[in-house]
Amino acid sequence: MIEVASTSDSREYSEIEKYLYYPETEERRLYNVGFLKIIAVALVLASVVGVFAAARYSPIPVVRISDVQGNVLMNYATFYVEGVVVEPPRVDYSGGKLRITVTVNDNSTPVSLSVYAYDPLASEMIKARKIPFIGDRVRLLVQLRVREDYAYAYLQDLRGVEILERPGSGDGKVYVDSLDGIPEYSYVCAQGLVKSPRNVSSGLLFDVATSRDTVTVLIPTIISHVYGDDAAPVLSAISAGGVPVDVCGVVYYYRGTSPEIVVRELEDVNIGVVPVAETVSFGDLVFNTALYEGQTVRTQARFVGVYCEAFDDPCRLVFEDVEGQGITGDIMMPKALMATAIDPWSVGSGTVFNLAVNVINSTYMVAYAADPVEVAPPFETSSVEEALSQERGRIIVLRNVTVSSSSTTSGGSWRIYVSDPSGYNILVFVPSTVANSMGFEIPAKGTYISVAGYRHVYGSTDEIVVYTVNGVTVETAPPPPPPQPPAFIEIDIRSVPGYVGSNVSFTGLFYAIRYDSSQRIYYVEVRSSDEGFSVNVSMNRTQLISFLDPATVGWKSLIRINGTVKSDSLVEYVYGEVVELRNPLTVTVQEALAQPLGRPLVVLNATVVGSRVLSGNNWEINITDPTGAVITVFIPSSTVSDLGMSSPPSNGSLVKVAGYRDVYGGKQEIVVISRNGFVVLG
Amino acid sequence: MEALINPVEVLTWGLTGTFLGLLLSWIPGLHIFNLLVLVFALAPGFITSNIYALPYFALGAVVGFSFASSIASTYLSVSDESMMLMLFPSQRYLLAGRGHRAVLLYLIGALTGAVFLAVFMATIGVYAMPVIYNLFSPYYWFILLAIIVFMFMSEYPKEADHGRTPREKLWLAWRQVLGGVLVFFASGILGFIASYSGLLRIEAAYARLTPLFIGFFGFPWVLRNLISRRSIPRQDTRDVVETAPGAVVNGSASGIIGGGIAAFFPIITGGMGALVGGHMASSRGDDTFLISQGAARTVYYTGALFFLFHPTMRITRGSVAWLVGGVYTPKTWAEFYAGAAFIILAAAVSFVITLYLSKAVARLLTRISYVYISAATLVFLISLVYYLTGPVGLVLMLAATSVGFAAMVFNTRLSYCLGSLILPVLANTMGFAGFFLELLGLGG
Repeated sequence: MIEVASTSDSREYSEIEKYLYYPETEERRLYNVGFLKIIAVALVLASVVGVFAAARYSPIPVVRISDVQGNVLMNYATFYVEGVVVEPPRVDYSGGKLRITVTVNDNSTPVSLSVYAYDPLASEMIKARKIPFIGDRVRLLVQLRVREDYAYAYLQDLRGVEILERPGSGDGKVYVDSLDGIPEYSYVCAQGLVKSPRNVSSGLLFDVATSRDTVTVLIPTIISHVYGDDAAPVLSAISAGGVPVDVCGVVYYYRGTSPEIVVRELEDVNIGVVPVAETVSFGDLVFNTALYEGQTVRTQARFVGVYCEAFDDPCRLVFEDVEGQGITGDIMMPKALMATAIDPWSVGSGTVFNLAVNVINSTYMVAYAADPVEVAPPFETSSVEEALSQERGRIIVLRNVTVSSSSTTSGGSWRIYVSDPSGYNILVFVPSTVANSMGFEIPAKGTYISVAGYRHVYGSTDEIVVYTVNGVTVETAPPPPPPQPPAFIEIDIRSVPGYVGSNVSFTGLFYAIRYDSSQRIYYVEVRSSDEGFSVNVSMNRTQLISFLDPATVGWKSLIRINGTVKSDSLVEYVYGEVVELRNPLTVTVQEALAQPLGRPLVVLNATVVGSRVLSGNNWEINITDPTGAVITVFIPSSTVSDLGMSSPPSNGSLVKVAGYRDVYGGKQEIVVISRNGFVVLG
Repeated sequence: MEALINPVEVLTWGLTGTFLGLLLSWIPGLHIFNLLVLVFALAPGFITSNIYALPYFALGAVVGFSFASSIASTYLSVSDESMMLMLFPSQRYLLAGRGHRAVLLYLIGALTGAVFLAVFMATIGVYAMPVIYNLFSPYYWFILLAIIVFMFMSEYPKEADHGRTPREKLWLAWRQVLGGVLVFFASGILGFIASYSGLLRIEAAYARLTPLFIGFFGFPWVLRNLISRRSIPRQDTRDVVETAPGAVVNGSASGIIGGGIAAFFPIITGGMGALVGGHMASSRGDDTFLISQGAARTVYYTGALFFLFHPTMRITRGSVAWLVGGVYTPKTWAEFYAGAAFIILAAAVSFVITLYLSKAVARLLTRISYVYISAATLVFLISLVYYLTGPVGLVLMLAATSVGFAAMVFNTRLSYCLGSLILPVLANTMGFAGFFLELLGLGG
């Protein structure tokens, strides 16, 4: 009982006062609570200190995830969870606050536990670079929240984050060129060329074309948060694609099936690192590709042309040796690298490049880097007709032409038909991947534009494919008036030597075809009617096959040539026509072997007895017929791509061959130069 | 969208919860959360037998509790966290033999609050609440801090006139405020320890604050009664009240505002919300106060749980919502509207039953000594804490009792004991949790 202290001026209350103030109760006692306050404060301090001391020595348990999943009674429990981080840490904003999410699994249950760290703890973790990463074995002090169908936890304090073990720490770099069979959470590295960079919700995803395969790499968003401005140039370079990269990280199987390397630190990404490579000659590389399989080599080669469809990436480019031996080979080049290395406005076919090449296998090489050494300008013209006459694959600049019609495909690609006053028109195709970055709308009809790209034939449509974002420029000035076509002096073929330097027109017999590989030009022998006098008419392949396709225009057809006399026996073709068509000379294989070189002819119903694909995708097909003789049909790659066949016909196939007789390295051949020149009959 | 539950089950389970809440809520110092926790612990099979009905069971229990707890606060003078004033008008009514009228005033406010809550949430609240939530969610910590500062500042220095010297005047003026500061931080430390240490076994995590709350609010009341040995005068149990329509409106508005603030913002409790609401509505008069208390408590407890029913807002407020949400969260609008309708039904049932309970308790207390009831309550509370949290929980409870006792002795707000909740959350939100944990040597 507490001591009662009466006030010094206590008095008896009157009955009325009692009734008013305390009806039906006894008078209240007055307490002096001063002493009670001291007791209270002492009790508070003693009990809080005592509980605090007990708490300090009470260990916080490590709890299995399986014990807390779905257990509503464990809500708000504070405990340690120890396990492996099974996903890349995610960073996002929730409720206006920065949040880091770490997913942990301790193998007690298939379900992992999501652990969240909100700002300011999230920022502290980023600043201290104490972020549990995929593959890390961690011990985290968390407070649990149990919802109806899932449980999650919150990190409370930076001290509650312990990274017990991290894969790769202290180990040397292990390079892989494929992630097949690589265990999850392994720390590996890959080297190669960046391709297909794309932004995904968890960060920047890209592929690295290694020597054998493609490795997917993810730079998670958290890297940007941790490294700030330092990460920007790296991410920007990778986003552009086509750069060589050396990257390390932890293997993660996205959705359990798709392996990727997740970068852990910015220092694990090195851009522009071209591995040390042996220098080899281009001819050696082409003929002995198998020897260099899996390696990166350096070489020097002359750029010939681009031979790929508009959407192919990487693109097939044809190069040839610089020694003039006529050795050609295909090298794949990522579109991003192609756009930077081969600016179509300034770099044309014939440019010599120093190439760093990844030899994937004996038939597949990918350029890493391409540095021009001797730049040859692109073919430039303002004549659509000349553009049409250019060989497929060449880089071409077509200036000041008028848009005669333009449309955008459902996929976003541009199809622009351009023409000049001569009336010729050609299709300019801008794939959607380039059109979307052009920065302006598709030019409308009537607009004057200049285009730069490569010559291509899609199906039967001649086109110029634009592959750079600067490949189409809109001109403000009207195009210059077209040049007047030269006047051709009509002469007799025998008078040609007297008109050197003049434009002449004459008729003659279509006699033979020869090819000069060094000049990459065809010479058609045209003879006088009595076959006593001959001149050579030079023309390119397109001109030849559009005028004198051996499949349709027979030997000794009467033709008219309009051209410029270059020398006593050489005329440069401008245009021509068939005056009197003769059927192609149809022979047996045995007869073909007896034909002189250059003779255009046709072999019907021959049987394929063997074939092989040479480097540069040239085909060699041996054919025979009931005569039993065998002859080789040579189809250069430029014609192969027109045939629409992915591989030579199988043995036993019945074919029709139209071309001209030739010999190469002692081997008797029929050279096919047009797509009508090789037809599979059955 | 098809409801996952049929009306019969809503009524059955809901009314079961209502009766349970009404039956047990007169026990002083006992929060409805503790009652539900007891049900979870003792009859888990009952809880999981129909998880879709569990939210309605809890809703009924909460409504019943918010009505019937007026009996404890009036007749048994318990001052839990939602009663923020030291001299309760209900106590004055009780001592004047008009305790039943205090209960009736409270019930008027409670019914008004329940109806408003149901109608508002089912109409404007469907659209307004998600917007309000998104607006305020980045600023919770700021609002919480402002309310705490307001609580301290509103307890302006008093008793200075009683001092004889300037120093004594200064001390007397600030004594109460300092007492409040001591209570707030002491309870905050206990809250950190209960939440972040390994003192309590983790299987009792859901009831980690039960020993503290019983120690803060229930135990000091029991001890005070045992010491003071008060007796209750005869009570007038006629169903009459002395008030005015204006007072009903003012009190209801004040309570609804305060209860709404408490329900919506995390950690802010009914008492803190009612403090703000009372100042906003400028309430005057005991009847207005009692009505506002009824409205505030009902809107606070019921509203906090009812947010769980909102399909697009999905916020979890209050320990009851966390408990229920861990088993099943209502997902459909049908469940939401069924809940709104049931609130009104439960409120009506609770109103009538509480009225009769009040009369019964009034008659009982004039016959049975307060001391016996207090002693029985003491045994019950100790048993509850021991069952849920073990002997360590008892130790925590005693530590919390000393803090609650200090609040009583210093004549300061018992709601400062909510520092056990507020301080850890505020520290976490503002980024000082690590500092406090390191200071206390916890969490690492």
